Amino acid sequence: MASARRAGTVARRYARALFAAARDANSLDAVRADCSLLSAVLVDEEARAMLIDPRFDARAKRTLLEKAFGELLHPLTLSLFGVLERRRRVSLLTEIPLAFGELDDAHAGRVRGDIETAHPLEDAARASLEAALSARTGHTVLLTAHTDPALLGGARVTFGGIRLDASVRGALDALQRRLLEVELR
Amino acid sequence: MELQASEVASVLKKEIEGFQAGASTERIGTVIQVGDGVARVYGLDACMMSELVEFQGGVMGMALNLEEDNVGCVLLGDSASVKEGDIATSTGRIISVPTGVGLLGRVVNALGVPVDGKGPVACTDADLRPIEQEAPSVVERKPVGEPMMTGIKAIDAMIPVGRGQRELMIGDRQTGKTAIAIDAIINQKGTGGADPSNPEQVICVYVAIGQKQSTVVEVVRKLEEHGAMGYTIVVNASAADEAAMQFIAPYAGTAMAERFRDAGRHVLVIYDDLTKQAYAYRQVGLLLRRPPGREAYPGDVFNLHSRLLERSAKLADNAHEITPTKYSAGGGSITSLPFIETQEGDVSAYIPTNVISITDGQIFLEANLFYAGVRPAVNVGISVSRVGGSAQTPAMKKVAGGLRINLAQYRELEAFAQFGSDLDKATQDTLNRGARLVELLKQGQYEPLRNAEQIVQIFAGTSGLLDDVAVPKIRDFASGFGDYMRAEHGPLMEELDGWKTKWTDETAAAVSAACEKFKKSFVG
Repeated sequence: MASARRAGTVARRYARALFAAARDANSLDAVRADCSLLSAVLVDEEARAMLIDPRFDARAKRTLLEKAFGELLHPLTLSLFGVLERRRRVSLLTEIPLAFGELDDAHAGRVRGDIETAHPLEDAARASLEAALSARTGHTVLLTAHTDPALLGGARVTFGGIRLDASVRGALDALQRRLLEVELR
Repeated sequence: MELQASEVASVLKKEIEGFQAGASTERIGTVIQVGDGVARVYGLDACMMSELVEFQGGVMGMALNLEEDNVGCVLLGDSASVKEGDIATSTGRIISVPTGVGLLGRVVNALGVPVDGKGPVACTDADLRPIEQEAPSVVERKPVGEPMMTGIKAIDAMIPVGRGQRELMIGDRQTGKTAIAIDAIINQKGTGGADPSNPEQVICVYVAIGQKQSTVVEVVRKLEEHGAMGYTIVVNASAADEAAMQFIAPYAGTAMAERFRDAGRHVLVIYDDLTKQAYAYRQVGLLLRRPPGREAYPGDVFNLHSRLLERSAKLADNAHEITPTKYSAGGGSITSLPFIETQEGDVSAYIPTNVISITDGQIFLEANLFYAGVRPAVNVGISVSRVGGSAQTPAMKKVAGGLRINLAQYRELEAFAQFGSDLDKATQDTLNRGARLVELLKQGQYEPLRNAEQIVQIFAGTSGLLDDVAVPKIRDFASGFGDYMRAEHGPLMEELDGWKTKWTDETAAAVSAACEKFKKSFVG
C-alpha cells in the first residue's frame, strides 16, 4: 500500500512550520535533503533510541547530532531538533520527515503512488505509465513498483486516493460479482 | 419456478461472452482506526456526506464525518470483519432501500433486507430509493382534512388525528403505547378491506427501533392474527442491531412510505420509538467524537427528528402537476405516530420537548391511569391534537363536543366523590356523568371500533342516556348497544360510518329511541 505509515496531527503541525520556514529561507532543497537523511538514519534502531530516548541528556544529544552531521544539516533542521527537545516532542522526529515530504509533494504538484504487477515491471514501462498519468492528471505522478503474483496479469495503480484496476484478478472479481447477480428467469 | 441446469448454464454463458473487462477506477481510502461500530478512513477525498462506503470484507459503512484528512464512518455490519489497513472504497451512492408493494406483509431490517425468512423481497433496482429525501415543499402540500381513524374512542373523539398529521405518543414504559399502534394498524383494515390494491386502503409501516426481538415477533403475530399484515411493512432495527441501523431505520421506513404517498395513497407510519433512535444517534455521535451537547446528544439531534417528521405530509391534489418528476398522483399522505418514552412521566426532558415542539399534538399516556384500570391510559386533560379537529367527521365532532369539558369538570370534582350524598345535586350529576364517561372510554385491546359505533356510544354517554346504567355495566352496555345498532339499524350506521354525514336532530332522536329500546332488553 501507498504510505501505510502516516504522520499524526502534531507532527504535521511541526512539519508545516518547518516547511514554511524553509521556504522563506529559500532552503527547501537543503531541508528536504536533511529530512531524507534523518528518516534514513532513524530507520536504525540504535540511532532512534539514542536520539529519542528521554533518558539521554538533551545537550549530549544535540552535541552528538552536531558532531555527526554538523556540516551536513541545515541550521533550520538543527533548530527544529532544539525546539522538539525543549517541548519534549523528540519522538515526533520519525514522523516529521514523512509529513514534510507530503507538504513538499503537494507544493511541487507531485503525487506518489504504487503500481502492482504480477511480474516485475521494467523501468521504461513504469516511466511511460508515469508520463501518461502525469499528462492525464496534471500532476507529476511518481510510482513505486511492487509485484503481487495474485494479480495474475495486468496492473493495478494506486495514487492520490484513486485505484485504477486493470489487472486480470480485478476483471475476474468483477465477472464473479456479475455472474452472482445475474437474474434467472 | 422450475430451473433447468442447462438454462442456467446458457444464461451464464451469455453473460461471460458479453463481459467486457475494462479497467476500473475507484476512489479508495485506508482504514486507520476501527472499533465500537465506527471506522476512520484516511483518503476517500471526494466522499460525500451520508455516502455508502464498502470495506474490504464486504461490510458497508456510511460516511457521517468528513474531516480534514479522514472520514468517519458508521458500520452497517459486523465491525469485527473490518481491520486496520483495510481498503475502503467509496460507492458514490447514498443508502437506498427497496420500496413498493413487494414489501407489504414483510419484516425487513433498516436496509430493506428481509429478516422474516420468507425469501427475497420482490423488488428490482428501479424500486430503490435513498433513505434521505427532501420533505414536500409548501406548494405541494394541503391542510389536513381527512380523518385517520384509530378505532380508539378516547382518541377519535377527543384527540382526532388527520391524514398527514404527526401526532406524538408519549408516556412511560408499559403504558400501552405499542398497543395503541397495533390497534390503529388493525383498524385500517376498515379503509379498504385489507386489500392493498384498493386505492382506499391505508398502507401501514411499523418501524421498530431498539425493541426487543420478542416484542417485534409478538406485534407481527398479532397483526397476522387480525389480518393486518397484508397492508403493513414492518421495519425492524432491534436492540441487537448496530446503533447505525437503529439510527437509519426511521428514514428507511419513511422512504418506503413515501413511495405510496407519491402515488396518491395514504400511509400510516409508526416510529416505535424515537427515544431509542436518539440514543443510537447519541452513541454514534460520541464515538465519532462530535461535541456533546445537552444530555450528551450531538447538536443536531433536533434536526434528526424534525427532518424525519417533516416528510409526513398531506399532499395537494395537484401535487403531480406541480412536480411531475416526484409525484405520480396528488392527494397522498403520510400520517405519523412517533413514540417517545419518558422517564417517570418527565416530559420536560430534552428529547420529549423537542419532539413535542415538532409534532402537531400529543397523546399522553399515564402510568397512574393505566394502573387504575383506565385503558387506553390517555390523559385527556393534557393531550391535544392541533390540526386533527378539522379532520374529524362532522357527526363525531357534534356528539363528542361536550366530552372533553365534561371530563375536565369530573376531574376537578373527583376528589369530593367520597362525600357522596352530602353534595348538591349538580355536583352529584357531574360526578355520575364523569364516572360513566371514563368507563365508556375504556376499551379492550385489539378491539378497534368503526366510526358509527363510536359515535352512537359516545352520544349515549354525553346525552345522558347512560346516567341510569350502573357504572360497572357501562362497558358491556356500550358495546352491546353498538352491536344492537349495527344489527337493527344497519342503514343508519352505514351512513354514520361515512365521513361527510352530519349529525341531525332526527338522527339524535332515532338513536335515543333505539337506546331506550335496547335498555329494556339489556340485562347486563
